[in-house]
Amino acid sequence: MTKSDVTRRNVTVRLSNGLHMVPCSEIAKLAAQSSASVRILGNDVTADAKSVLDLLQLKAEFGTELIVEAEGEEGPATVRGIVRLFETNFEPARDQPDPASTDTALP
Amino acid sequence: MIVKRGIAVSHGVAIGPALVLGTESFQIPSRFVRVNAVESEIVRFRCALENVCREISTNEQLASEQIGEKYGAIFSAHLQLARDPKLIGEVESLIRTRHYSPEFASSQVLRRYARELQNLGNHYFAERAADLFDLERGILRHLLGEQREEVANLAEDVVVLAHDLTPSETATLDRKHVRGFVTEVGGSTSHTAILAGAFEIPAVVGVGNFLAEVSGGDIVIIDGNHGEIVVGPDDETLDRYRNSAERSRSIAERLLSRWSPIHPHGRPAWSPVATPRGTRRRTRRVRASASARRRRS
Repeated sequence: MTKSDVTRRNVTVRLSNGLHMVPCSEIAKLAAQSSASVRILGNDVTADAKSVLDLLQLKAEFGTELIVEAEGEEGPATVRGIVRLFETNFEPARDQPDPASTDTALP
Repeated sequence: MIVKRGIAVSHGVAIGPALVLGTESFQIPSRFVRVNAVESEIVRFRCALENVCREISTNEQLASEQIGEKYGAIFSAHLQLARDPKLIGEVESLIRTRHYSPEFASSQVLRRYARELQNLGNHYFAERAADLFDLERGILRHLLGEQREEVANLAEDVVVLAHDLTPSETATLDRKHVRGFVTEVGGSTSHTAILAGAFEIPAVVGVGNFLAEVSGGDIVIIDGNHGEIVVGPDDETLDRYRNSAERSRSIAERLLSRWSPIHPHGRPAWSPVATPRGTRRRTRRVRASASARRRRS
């Protein structure tokens, strides 16, 4: 694949308090470890996924649909990781996350 | 430039750097750094930030161990915030290109983001602004370290901005350097109003929420005549206020220097610096007699 390939996935926020500081920081932590440039788009905002401050500007509440996209060699893996955070509703990995029970929220 | 209206409780105009009480209990000593000190100031900022991160990590560990991992996660988020590349980039760029001091730059950047959060219109997000203020305090504490200035021992003239002034806060204020007061709450009988009257300095109260929009060190104009405050005035506004302040002062000084007996220390016995109360009264009297003289001649 070439460097300009963009990996793109749609996600939906299932946190009752929205994408607040703790989940934003988890996304940023993951994105910061990647060499890819990662963005999250939604609510007419494009946020640098490595910046908590930027992610907060998404103002993503429960039910908001977002697009995760990344460029670079590690792009696909990073996007997968971030999508997984959404799918597990930001619950710390308990071996087998159950996407059906995604209604519990972090503090 | 932000203009706010409140209740004018003590006359006059004061212009000076802001000292924000309550949200931050120390003064940002200088807003700018010398051009040739930029690199060392950036190093100073990075060291302070590193110390803040270390402190947050310790808190994270303590919280996780003692009250549970969910709470530790809050500090983990703070840590990620303190390492935010945008935050660091913006602060360093302000130091490098505008020669802001690290203290002033950090405060400016964090407060701008806090303001944006508060403006998102979502209660839960707005509350996160408190986390940014927390980080601001942490950075300032580490930057200022031993140099931290006590409110009681100000090095330069300031205008004091506060939600409300408590008696203990006002008791420790350094009267010599406080040029004016603004509070978010209060009416004509508030502590601020009473104190401003006693200090004989301009004051505006009951302005409403505005402290998040001000960084320590921002230039603020307090118009105690019209009950208005201007945060970060543009040059034109600043000139207009300065000129009017200058004009009234220069008339008073001209008259004083001509009419007053010279004090043994070389200052007019009732110079504005020595006794503001006397000055004002005397100035009026002098002015009156000067115009009388003009009429006579």
